[in-house]
Amino acid sequence: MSRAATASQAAAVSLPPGAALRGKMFVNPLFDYMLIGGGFSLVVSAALIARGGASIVSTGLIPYIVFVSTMAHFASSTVRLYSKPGAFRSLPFLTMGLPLVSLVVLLVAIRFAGQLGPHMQSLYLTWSPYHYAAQAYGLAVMYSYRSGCALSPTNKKLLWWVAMSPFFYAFLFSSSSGARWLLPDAWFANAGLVQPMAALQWVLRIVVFSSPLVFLVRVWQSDRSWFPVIGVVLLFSNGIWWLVLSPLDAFVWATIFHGIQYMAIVIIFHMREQMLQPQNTRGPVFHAVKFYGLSLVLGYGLFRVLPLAFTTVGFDLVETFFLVTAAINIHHFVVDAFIWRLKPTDGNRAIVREGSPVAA
Amino acid sequence: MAFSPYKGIYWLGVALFAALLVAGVVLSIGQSGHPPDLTTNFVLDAIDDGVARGDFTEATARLRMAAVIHPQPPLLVKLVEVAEKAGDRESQVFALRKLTSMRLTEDPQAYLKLASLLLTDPARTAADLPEIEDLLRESLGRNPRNAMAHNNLAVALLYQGKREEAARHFAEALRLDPSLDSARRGLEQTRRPS
Repeated sequence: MSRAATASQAAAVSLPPGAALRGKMFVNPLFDYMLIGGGFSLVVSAALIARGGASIVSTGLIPYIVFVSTMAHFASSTVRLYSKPGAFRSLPFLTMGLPLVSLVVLLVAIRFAGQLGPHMQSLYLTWSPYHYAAQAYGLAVMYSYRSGCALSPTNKKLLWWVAMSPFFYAFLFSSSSGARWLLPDAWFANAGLVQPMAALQWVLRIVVFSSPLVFLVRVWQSDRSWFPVIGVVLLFSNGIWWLVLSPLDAFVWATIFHGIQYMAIVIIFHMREQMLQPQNTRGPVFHAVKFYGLSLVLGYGLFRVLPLAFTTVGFDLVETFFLVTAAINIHHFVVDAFIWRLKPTDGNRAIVREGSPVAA
Repeated sequence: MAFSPYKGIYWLGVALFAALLVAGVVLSIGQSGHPPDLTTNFVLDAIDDGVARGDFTEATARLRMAAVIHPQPPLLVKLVEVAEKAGDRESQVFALRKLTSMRLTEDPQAYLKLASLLLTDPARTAADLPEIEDLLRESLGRNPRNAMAHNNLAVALLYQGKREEAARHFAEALRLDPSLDSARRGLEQTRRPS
């Protein structure tokens, strides 16, 4: 969602300081802060930490939570792509070429799983934290824009670095992706690097959790404008997902929270976009339920049915499940990089600006 | 969509995707009642089925593929266990090498186990001994009170002609475990004239 940044052009501040600091909501403060901002994830993370990483829901329930959040979220970018008015015309390769290209790449990767599989898996695992960070950045810019905080080009660059800091952490310290994928194993076996890497890990931890607040203060000092607190919460939540939850088997939780965040914002965009269509005769709830229902069905088809299909032509379950998951992720990352763009003619821009302060 | 050169490609993709989904649906009918699941759990379930049937060779092959694609510690540790039951020495070495070379584990047993497998490998050559020595030192660095690690390090040192240091480690192994006959014999060997 990083391309959302392109919309953050000057908007005059006309919100009172309290409202500007809180941020202009899409729905209401509870919904926006808890689901889009990641506040819900902070509550669950606190509970996980308080319980020493012990599960806070029954293990049997987790697959269902993953189904309704993570799987639906991956499918929802595709549903949005094909339900976006004018998408076939404005994004011809993405809508019509990419599906076949993805299937062919997937088929080749499964056929040569021993050689290509590790790279496809590592690509997806390396890209994931970048995608999460880009989403946090895009949403933070979007809220900033809606709330009348016109970020200067310098501050926008700074915000990007702040948002990317959890990605840098994950890139350097993940156990099977990022630097570990790109550098030879021997590099990590070098005992002389253990201490410097541990020190760097601490530095990055401090940067990830302090920089959002430092950024808020800096924006106030440089632009006399309030960066909305929901932006700080967004950045902070992403840091928690990658830095704090990692030792607590949090890849599952991180994807769940990211999925919830994504579903919330994508449904808002879809719903409002459909409501703006001249031929629309339905209410917002219909569009929201239809979109989510389609995402659930497609998610099930992609994650559960598609891998089984590959076993019918002789591939083993192991490589098909791993590589189908990797392919779905990569396809999602690519599609996501385009569907959130805020070109002047794009419907996204109107939704972001909806109800936001306007230039005097 | 008449405007697009991608139209044919699009419908080909849709047809292929639909065919795959239909095949998957037909297969999944036989799995009715199976809940939506996490990918890795599904994979581990498939592997566990093999283990439950006592088919360790199939389970090892699947785990090996899973560990090649996604070399995460839980999969690698499981591969070591299952490959041991299957008698698949090469897969054990593969998994232990991944775990130790990338420092994915702090378990001293992983380093000791790999060193022991390499030390007892019939195809071992003199060129393998420095790696074995390093692994045993890594293991002892994490747990200096393991008699077997001292014993094996002493053996590796003895093969390299480092008799004095070998004697010290044989002695330490005996001190930690006086019943360790191999250490006693090794110590005697270091005292014999070469």
